[in-house]
Amino acid sequence: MIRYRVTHATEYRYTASVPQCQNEAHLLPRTTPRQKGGHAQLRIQPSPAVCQDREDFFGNRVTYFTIQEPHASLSVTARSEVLIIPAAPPQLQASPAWEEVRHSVSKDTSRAGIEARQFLLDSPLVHSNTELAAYAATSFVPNRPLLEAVADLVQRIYQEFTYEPEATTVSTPLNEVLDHHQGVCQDFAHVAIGCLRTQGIAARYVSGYLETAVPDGQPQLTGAAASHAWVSVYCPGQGWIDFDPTNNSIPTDQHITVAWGRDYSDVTPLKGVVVGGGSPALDVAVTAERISS
Amino acid sequence: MPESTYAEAPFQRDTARGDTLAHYPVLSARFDEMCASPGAVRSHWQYALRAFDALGPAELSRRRDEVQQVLRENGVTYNVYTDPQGRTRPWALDVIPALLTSQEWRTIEQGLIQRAELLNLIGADLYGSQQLIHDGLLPPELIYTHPGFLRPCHGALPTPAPYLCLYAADLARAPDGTITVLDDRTQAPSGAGYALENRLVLSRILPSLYRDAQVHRLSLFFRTLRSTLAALAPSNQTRTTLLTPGPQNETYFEHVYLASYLDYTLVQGDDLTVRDGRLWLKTVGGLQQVGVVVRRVDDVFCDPLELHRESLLAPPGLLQAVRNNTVVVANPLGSGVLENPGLMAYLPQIAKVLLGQDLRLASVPTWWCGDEQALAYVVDHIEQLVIKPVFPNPGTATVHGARLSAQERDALIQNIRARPHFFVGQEQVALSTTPVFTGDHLEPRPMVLRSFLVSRDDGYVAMPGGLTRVTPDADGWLVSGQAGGLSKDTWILASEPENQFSLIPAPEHSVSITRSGGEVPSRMADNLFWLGRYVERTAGGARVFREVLQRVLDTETARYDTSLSAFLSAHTHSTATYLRFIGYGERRRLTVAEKELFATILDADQPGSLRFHLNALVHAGQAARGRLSDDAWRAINRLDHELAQVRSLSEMLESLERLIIGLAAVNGLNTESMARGHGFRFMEIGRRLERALYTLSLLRTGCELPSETEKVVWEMVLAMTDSLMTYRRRYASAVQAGAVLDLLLLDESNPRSVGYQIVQIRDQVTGLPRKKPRPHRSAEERIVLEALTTLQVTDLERYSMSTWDEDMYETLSQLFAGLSTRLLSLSETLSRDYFSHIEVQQQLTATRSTSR
Repeated sequence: MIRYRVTHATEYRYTASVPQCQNEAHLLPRTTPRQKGGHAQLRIQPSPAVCQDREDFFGNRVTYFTIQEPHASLSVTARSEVLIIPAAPPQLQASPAWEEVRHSVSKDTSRAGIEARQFLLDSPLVHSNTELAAYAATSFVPNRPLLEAVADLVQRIYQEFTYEPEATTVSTPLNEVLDHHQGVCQDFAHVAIGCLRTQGIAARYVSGYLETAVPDGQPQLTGAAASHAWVSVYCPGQGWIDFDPTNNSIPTDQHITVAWGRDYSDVTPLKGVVVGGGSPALDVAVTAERISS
Repeated sequence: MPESTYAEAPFQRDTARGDTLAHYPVLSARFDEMCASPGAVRSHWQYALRAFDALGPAELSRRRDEVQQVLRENGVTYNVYTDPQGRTRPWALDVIPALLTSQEWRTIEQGLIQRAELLNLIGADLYGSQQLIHDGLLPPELIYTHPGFLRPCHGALPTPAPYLCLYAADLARAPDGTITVLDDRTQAPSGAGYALENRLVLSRILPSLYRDAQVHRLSLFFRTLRSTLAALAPSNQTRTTLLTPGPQNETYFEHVYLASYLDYTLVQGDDLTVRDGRLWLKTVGGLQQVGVVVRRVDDVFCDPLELHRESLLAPPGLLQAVRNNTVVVANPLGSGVLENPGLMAYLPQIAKVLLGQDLRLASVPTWWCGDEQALAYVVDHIEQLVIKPVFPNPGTATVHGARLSAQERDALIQNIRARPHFFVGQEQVALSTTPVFTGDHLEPRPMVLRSFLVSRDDGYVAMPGGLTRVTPDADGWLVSGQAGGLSKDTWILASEPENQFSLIPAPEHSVSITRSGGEVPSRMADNLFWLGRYVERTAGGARVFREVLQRVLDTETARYDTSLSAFLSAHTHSTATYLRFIGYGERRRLTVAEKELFATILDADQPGSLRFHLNALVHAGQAARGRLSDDAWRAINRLDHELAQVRSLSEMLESLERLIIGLAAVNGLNTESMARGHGFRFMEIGRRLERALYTLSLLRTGCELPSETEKVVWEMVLAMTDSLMTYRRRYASAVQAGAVLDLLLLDESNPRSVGYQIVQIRDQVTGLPRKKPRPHRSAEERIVLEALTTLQVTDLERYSMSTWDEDMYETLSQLFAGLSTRLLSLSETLSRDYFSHIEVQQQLTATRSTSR
């Protein structure tokens, strides 16, 4: 088991006073079969008049809070400790052919199957279209084992797309990412999800963190000082298997899951509505350190 | 079908006055509500038909006109989105009611109640355990693809309330006589208010027929609605509000009408705010807690934090307040998922499992294309089916397979195959026909009945009757308010004496005597303030134009000098509408003047025109309707007919005269009928402020004009302020500037003077609510005191001289400017301190995941 300590600090600085804000945060890590939550808390300044936690439709932890005194800046810092049970990488060739999976999942009436079926459908930010289907088709050749096809797709996205934070914003449509082959982790995750759904494969969006500093001898994952996003694919019998298109990797012990949903819009780390505020400036800083192995 | 319900007999006319039935065709492909076959009138229609026959076509036409007149007077409208003018269309009501026997109605009612109970259980399940999906009774894709399934609402169930408070269904009768449900309305069903208004109008137009026919009354439904919502309130200290998207909405009339009938506060999104996890109404006196929201805003727009982010139609945090159980929204957020027509395919099976019953009221046969077999059926039978999206979508219309070309059909099939979950195929019901009085005869028109239900402790209660709508033309197949068409009152004819009222649970708590009309929401204060301003602005404009027109029309003494145009531009507050009277030959000037005058008075699109101000007045009146007396509202509504269809200057003059009298009526009714609360206070401040500004601008114009025109100019100023008689009584001499200034500026006993207005404003401002009692004067009080003092220390002694020097002009000009500035800053200060709904709200840039 590996113990991580994560700090995710967000700060909005306003140019005009804000008498009230209301926010929703997906910042506290959920529990998963391979991840146990330890101590986790949000520090919000100024201190909120109301702060309430709940579980959302997907089982994620959500926090609603509101500040009701005039303020010039808002700072939200999530600190959490998480235990991760390292997983052996899945045997890609051992998975069933993707056509078989497509067929069985669409009719699966088990609880897990019904849950997976909603991740086959269009979602607010990811709409199936022929471009996505065409891009996916190269990897989804007949009778290929599902996980091998997914790994191939993820590798192609890694190779053919350029990481370019200036190329996209929160509101860049998926098609534009596909046309320009540029973006950031959440764009790549959306491309992968869109491609997989066109092939009838259930795929969900995972929001979380990458380890910032790594032990000697292991490859350095750069640029991790922000929150991260990757995808998860449903494979009957094996459950949900994560893939990281931004790093062309299969997460085993360096990815910390916060929340999952159909796409980014279900699990936005922090959003809010404010009265006034002028033109706010935003700063985000993330560290995810391994504190014991 | 019970035999007796549709017993028919040859129709016996007992008077020779009319033959309403002549040429009434009965179409073989449809069921006719009135006639089983040509000339064979169903028994429950016979009495009414005899009555119509006795009235005769001429009298029926007269009553039809009366119906439209009453509706117009009451301001009953339906907004049409496609009208480029954004104008409202008068509601259209047929003089012939739709009739149903109470025997048949009982069967329909039981079916409706069962259906409401069923949808209630389904809604609670979908936002709870979703057992229906896990048990295979509903395909997950049917729910998960529907944009009305709002995941943030999952788990936010009203407790212990029923899930659905309100339910409406569109019903049609198939050719074999069976009643079929075409649509379920579970979000924010509209129409109940129109049904009520239809009833009030028709029972007034056909009083004896209405009485003799023993029609079931509608009031029980509304009383149940009130007591159900009262029971939902988390505490009796809270308010109930009706949330409207605003005056642009198609059924805004109904929102105003119902709010006033049910005595709820009509609010828009920014009237509300969520603080401390509760919902509050912003009033001029501070925040008041809201316990129940009856919403007429679609749920996706009801929380910009968690639902549609761009929405301004509801306050952020509403959903969290719902989760906290501090407010109940009816119907709950998320209930739109039940309007998915694809559900209809699964209702019979669900009814068996959940209720252990068969569906009493069939739905129109429906195939949801997300099911493979259903998809195959729809593709094979597309020519016999209507294809609908499962969710109203601007890009995807409801289409009739038979009306498509082969090419269009192929494109549609391709479309369906690409997104099968998104479509249903439905059989088209040949709607039954009901008689409509058109021209001078009865004509059969296809109809749909919308019925309304409300929950009660022991189930649901249906409104006896509902809103019947008929297609705009005889072979139409789509009934919708947007497409035009006619509505009808729906009469359930009692076969036995009505004893419904004994069923009513004890009415709500007795009325406790109160002197306050509740706090004034800040938007309402804003509306009333502007209503006051626009009434005065329009009245002032009308007086200026009347004066100018009289001079233009009076060709003998016509003086097309600078004074006319100066007054006009002073009034319109805008050089854009400056009248170009100068620089043309005499004759040409007149025609130019006429054209310009028409534009400046009548062009509603030209800011500053009189019609522009009048429209603003009517809008402010509509928005403030809940606070006005009925008579005041009717008086405002009547003004809307002025300055329209004017063809000549003399007609214009007549219209202006009527407008001036009409505005005086509005002012008089408001003064006489409004209780002296904060609402009145804001309207009065608005009126006085505008009148002071108006008089100041006239005085300034008078002083700026060359002195050779002095006499005429000051006479005009006196006429435009309706003060000529006062002046003449006071001064026998010719009009003289110094005396006019005294009368219109300083004389605090003259209700037209600037001084009088400011004294009135001071009295009202002192009574404004204050957030915290403080020993100091409020900002508003300080401004008014400054203005009044400035005026009172002004010395006009030397202005009685016949010629003024530069310095005197300068002093006056500074006085006018100073007073205007203070009055305008009073308006701004009031907005800032009391009209808090104008706060600007923005979405924070959401943090995104950008790591590599």
